[in-house]
Amino acid sequence: MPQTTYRQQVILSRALQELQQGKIPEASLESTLFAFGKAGYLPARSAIEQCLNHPSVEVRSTALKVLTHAFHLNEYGETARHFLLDDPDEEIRAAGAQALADLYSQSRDQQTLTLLARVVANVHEVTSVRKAAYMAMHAIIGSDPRELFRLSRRLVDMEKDIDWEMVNTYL
Amino acid sequence: MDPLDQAITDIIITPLSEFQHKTSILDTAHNSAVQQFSKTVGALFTPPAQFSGPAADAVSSLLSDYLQTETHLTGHGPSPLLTEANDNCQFVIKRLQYSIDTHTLWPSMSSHGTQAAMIGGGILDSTIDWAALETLLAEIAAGTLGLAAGGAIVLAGMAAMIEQRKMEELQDVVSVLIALTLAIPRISADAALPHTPSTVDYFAKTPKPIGQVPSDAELPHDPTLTPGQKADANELEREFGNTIDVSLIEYILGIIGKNVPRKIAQAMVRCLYLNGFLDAYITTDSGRSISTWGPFGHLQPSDLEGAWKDLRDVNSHADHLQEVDNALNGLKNRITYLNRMISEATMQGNADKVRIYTILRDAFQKTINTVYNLIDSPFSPTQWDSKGKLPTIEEILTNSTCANASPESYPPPKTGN
Repeated sequence: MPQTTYRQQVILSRALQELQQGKIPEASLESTLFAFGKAGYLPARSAIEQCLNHPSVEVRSTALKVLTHAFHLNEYGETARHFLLDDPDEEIRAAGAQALADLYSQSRDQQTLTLLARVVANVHEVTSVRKAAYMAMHAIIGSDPRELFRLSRRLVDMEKDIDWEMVNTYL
Repeated sequence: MDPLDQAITDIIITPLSEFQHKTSILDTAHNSAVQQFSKTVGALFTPPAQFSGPAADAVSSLLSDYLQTETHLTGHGPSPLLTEANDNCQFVIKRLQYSIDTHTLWPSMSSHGTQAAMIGGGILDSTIDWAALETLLAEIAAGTLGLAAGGAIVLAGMAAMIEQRKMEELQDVVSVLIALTLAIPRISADAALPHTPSTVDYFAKTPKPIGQVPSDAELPHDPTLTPGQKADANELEREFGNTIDVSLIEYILGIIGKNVPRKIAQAMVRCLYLNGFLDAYITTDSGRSISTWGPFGHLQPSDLEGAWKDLRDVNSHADHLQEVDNALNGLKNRITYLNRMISEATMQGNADKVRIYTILRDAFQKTINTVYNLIDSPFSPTQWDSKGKLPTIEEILTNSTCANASPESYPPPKTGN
């Protein structure tokens, strides 16, 4: 957890209290969750978890990002899968793929790779989600973030630029 | 009077008022002198004067350059830079005076929306804006967010916060004074010597060795706005019925406000809004409306700097790279949707929409190319000519003709008083 002073702990604690009492306005929810994530403030975990059901797409995806990327809590792997496969919003589905990448980075987890490969191969899925799933596969296989950036840049045409041999390995 | 208020009155308000008064006189005198000079030297080259030949041509050319620069800077009356400086002085004086007179908690510089934007720099950034978070909590406690006022919280360290606010206000005043001191030499230096980058400058610039690039961010994350510009952003937000996020308005003012006077910058933003560039929403496949401008929050100069450093292992983490990549993907998605919207608007024969979407799409594409060029650049971020400033807004302004917006063509709404 990043080092915080006593004073900062007081601020975080008050912000958590306000969040629990529903007093943080929607426009500030995302930024407040970010602040908890940046500070690695685990006492807010339960309140952040509540936000996974928030009607706002931005709030839901931020909550998942904080729990998986900032807190790195593997328990939210199932939530990430659910987001990826079942949510009607493409941004949430892409956030689900990215959360799986955050949780299983460099693990070569077969089950997750298979799940992601199916999304990449699904021609009925929108491009942004397929692309997020493909990038997540590379992160799980072990690509360096710098390689991922270069890969993402080259990825223009889903059908031509994807390494289908690699994807098919996990189908 | 509170001793601190007394000190602020004596040390800042009174001298600032005096300075403002004298600067205004000086500016008017300067403007008259330039006009007089123009008439006098002009007479040398018009009949019956016989000042001609190669030397006269050379002098004429130099004088013409000088007067052109003067016209550019001060041709429409008092200097825009000094006018802005005067406005800033007035704004600070009035606010300081108001705070002292009413004995109220010093008003925040920025609206709640701005603070939210300040807090939400992104999970991957290394710092939290504690002051902004604290202000949000204070606003909740004070019930100024339109929420139930019950359960008011006694904020621990409130006294310390007030002191901090006063310090921030003092820093604002200092920045105004710095702006003033910078404005005057800039006018005279620019007028005396119109400058264009020479080839010597270009070849003298060599990439800084990676080992000499500090890992900490050197470029700004949020736009650096003067107090006057911040006030303008809040005013425009209200003018647009709070339908446009103030952080977007601040982003735009932060880019164009460095080159044009405040009133013209306001007119340009008004023009962009009235022509539908700021509230252009995109409907995704899932039927949700998303802001066209969303990704720009993660394409600030410090983000690009972080990504450049991540690629070269100057940072220990590669988080910025992921953040910038996400933002670029967001822009690429928007281009895909804009292409679809252009086709639909073309089918409907809606030329206005076709024009708006095309301008946005082209500006976004140029932005993506610029970001990649910067990240690939052999020069380190502090050596970038643009300092990480993206061309998006200027592209849209130019192609939409809002670059020519004036306070006369896009005036503020009448208040009815």
